[in-house]
Amino acid sequence: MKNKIFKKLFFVSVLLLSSTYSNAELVVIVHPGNSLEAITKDKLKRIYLGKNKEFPNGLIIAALDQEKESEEKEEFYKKVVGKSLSQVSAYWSRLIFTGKGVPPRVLANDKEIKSWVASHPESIAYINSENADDSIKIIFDVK
Amino acid sequence: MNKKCKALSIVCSLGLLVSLPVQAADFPVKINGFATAGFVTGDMDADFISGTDVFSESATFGADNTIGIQVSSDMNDQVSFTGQLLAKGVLDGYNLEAHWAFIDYHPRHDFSVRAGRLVLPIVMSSEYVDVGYAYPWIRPPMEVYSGIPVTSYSGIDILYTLNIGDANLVFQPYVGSAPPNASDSFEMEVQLGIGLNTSLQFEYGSLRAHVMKVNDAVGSSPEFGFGMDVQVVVLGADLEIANVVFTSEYMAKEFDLSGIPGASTIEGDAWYVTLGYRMGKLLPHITFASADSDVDQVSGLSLIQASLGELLGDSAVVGSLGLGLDELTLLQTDPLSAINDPAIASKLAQGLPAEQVAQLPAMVSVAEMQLPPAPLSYKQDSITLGLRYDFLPRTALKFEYQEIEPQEESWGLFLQEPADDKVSLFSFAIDVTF
Amino acid sequence: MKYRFLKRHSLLAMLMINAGLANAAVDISGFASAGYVVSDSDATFISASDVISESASFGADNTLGFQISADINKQTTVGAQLLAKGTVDSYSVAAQWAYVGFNLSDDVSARMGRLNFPATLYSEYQEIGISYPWVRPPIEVYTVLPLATYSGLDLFYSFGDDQLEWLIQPFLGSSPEFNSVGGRGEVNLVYGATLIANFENGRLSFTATQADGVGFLFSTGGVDLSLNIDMTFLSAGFEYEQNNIVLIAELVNKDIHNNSQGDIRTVSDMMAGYITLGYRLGDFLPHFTYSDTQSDHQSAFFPAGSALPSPPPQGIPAEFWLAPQDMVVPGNAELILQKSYTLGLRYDFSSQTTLKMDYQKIIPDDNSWGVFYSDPGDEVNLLSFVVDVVF
Repeated sequence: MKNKIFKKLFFVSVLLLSSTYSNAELVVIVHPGNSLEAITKDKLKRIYLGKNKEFPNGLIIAALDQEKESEEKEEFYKKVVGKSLSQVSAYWSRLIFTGKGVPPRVLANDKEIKSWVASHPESIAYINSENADDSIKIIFDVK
Repeated sequence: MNKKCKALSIVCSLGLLVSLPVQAADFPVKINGFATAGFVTGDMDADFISGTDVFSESATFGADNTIGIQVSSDMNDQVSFTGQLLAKGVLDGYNLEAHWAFIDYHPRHDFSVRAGRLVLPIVMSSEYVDVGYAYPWIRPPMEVYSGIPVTSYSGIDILYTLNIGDANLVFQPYVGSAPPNASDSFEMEVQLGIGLNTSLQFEYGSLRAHVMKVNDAVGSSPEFGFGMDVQVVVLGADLEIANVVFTSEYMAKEFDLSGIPGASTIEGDAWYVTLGYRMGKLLPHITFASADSDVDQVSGLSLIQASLGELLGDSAVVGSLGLGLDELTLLQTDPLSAINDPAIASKLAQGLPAEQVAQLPAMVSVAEMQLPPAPLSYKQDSITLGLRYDFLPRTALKFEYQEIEPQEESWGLFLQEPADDKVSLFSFAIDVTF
Repeated sequence: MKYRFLKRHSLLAMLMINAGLANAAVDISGFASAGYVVSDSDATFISASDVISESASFGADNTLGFQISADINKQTTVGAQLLAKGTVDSYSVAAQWAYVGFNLSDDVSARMGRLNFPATLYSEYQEIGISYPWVRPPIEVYTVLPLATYSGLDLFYSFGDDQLEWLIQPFLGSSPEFNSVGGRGEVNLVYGATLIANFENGRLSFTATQADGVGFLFSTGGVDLSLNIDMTFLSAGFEYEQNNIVLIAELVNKDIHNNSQGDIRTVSDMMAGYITLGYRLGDFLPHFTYSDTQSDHQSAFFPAGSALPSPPPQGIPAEFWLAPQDMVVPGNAELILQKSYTLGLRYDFSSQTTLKMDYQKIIPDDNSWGVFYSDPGDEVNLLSFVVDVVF
């Protein structure tokens, strides 16, 4: 079927792109109007596991994720949450199928994520640092 | 169409039917799902209960097969609907049941009320027991997970989350009733049950305590029906520290029975301990599990012995029946097979009153029965060696070797007496989630 | 080119698939059939997985199904068909099949779960009426194998080129208790293989299946009967279309071994086949089918007072274990001896909707009731209508 070919092309392109990113850093971003200036790794971990649901200013957090098997997602969860993507899937399957939680919304790439964050004050996300600009605010460097 | 299409013909026939792609990003309905395909083999000559399923020889390929599809939709910021359809291989032959179907009202992010068809949170994994991807085993330890033969109920629960520093304390009180629960071996109907599930979630995992109380439940097995009051307490821990996985639960239960001849109370407890070590995509683990119920009951065997005792105590009567010495010995040591022996039965019939003769087959069947039925009362131990391999994203392969040993007089969770003292099973499963 | 009668819909389908590419989450599609049957006989009969009685005039062929598929990752897929039928279980929904599939390489894939039996040309999409010309596939052939699905695994291996492509599909499984027509059954072990040749204008298919430890439990005339047998099942099918001429033919053979009752009368070796000829006139496809069965044995017929085949239940003396009335053992494990002629017309109303009409004359053999549950007389005339849609 044609979509297999498309998918293959897609993955090839992801690989090509990601190889140029391999030295880039991930940064955690929020809406520029968010009063939060910095965040701890522990807080981020709790947010991405759905355990922390509120910003200090009272807004209900809406976290965003990169595409399913993207390098960005794998790196973020490994460095910040301390779990492999398999562990993360298993964790969320316990919450999704008991109606107790909804995992972060998935967007396709840095560009989409950035424009989403720029227009949604409640959002938090991670992107490659070289794609960051004034439309969003960086609050954490993933190392 | 290329080869792959022909290769996966069903996928392609799916494709050929006009498909409506559902896109999460711009569609108000979310669809998620999970599936398990499994295989189990070993000493399968006796059927056994695992959870709410009954495993038999013809179920080697179907026993663990499961598909679940969940649809959820936000009606507005505070109200959402979730429905989960579940089909399982041995329970009702792949018939689809609405496992969950509820309206969720959540006025605050830390407080929600759910009403509809919910799943009882009896044990730690009860609410996602069919989602194999969510836990390390192929099926959770049956000694604990088969203890209460009810899964879904109709009612209301509340989820309230308290933030304590870096930990969350979650309270989940619930109340509801359960219609007769379909199972081959056992049915339980609950008019009203209440419970409270509390869990403390922190960096290294969670601790959990659950209490449940049910009054005037109705139980029935293929042989007879009865009433009962039920109390259950479950304690559990699920921890992961430095690649070491530790999961353990303890269940204490009490059934006050009415309507079973000779039985009044079952007091039982069950526990398991699972230890695992995570090595990248591999998680080898070992589980020790045990269940022990003490039934305050008069056995069927002793009912027969009592009935025959008077007769056999009188040497004159014994002489008039013309029973041989070996027949007499058999009657005293193994009355069950003695009654089933036509020669002995016909001799007994001469000496016993007619109504007593008529009762003999009934007493035999009572004695042959496990009293009370297996999901309520059983004694068995098991050891399970397992390996979970997360070999592809959202896809896990699992292998397990299990040795089950019914204890004392009990058949454990077997529905017939197993041929050997120790039953060995080998299982394989693929779990996916989407 | 998976099934010829959908050929014309496939372009649209492909477009829709590609539209969904951006977010390959969950694909849902569906199909439905609604039918009407009139007959000059009151006798209830079985047709593949359905029981059609007079009271089911409306609803006999009614079916509603949904198919769900999702890509788990690059290699893994999951698929399920949820099916509600009008007659068998009065619209309760079951997972007709559900599996996890792996693409092991470009040419090899494997599936595990509950799978459809690839026993005959149309058995994998028997419920999707739009995929074949008749109202229902020829009952003589599609009633021979009692098992529509099994739990287990299979493997697809394909090779060849665009002119001629071969597909080999070995399978292995068992079946936990399933509802068969008129009873319940289970199979301890089933294995076999299908070989398909796809060529420009059609396909050729062979299947060999062995089923061991096949148990049936059914109730007839108020009496519960049980059977335990092994079965060997062979089939060959041919589908061809050129110059508007449509030709379809199938032959199936069933051998029974190790009948635990030792009484071969209840289920028996048999052979069945049909040939269909059609001519495509634009959106219309008129067709004619001749269908027949053969066996060296007598029909599974028990006159009143004859001994029943299964051992009497505990407590019932053998001399009372007799047929209370004239009985034919129901369930499609039985020996069905009949022939039939079918004249049909298929009209492709739109790319997603098909109207079909079949006139069928069924002639049971002497000493057999054919597919009927009670004596149907010398012959039965059936007129069936159905609307099939996919969405």
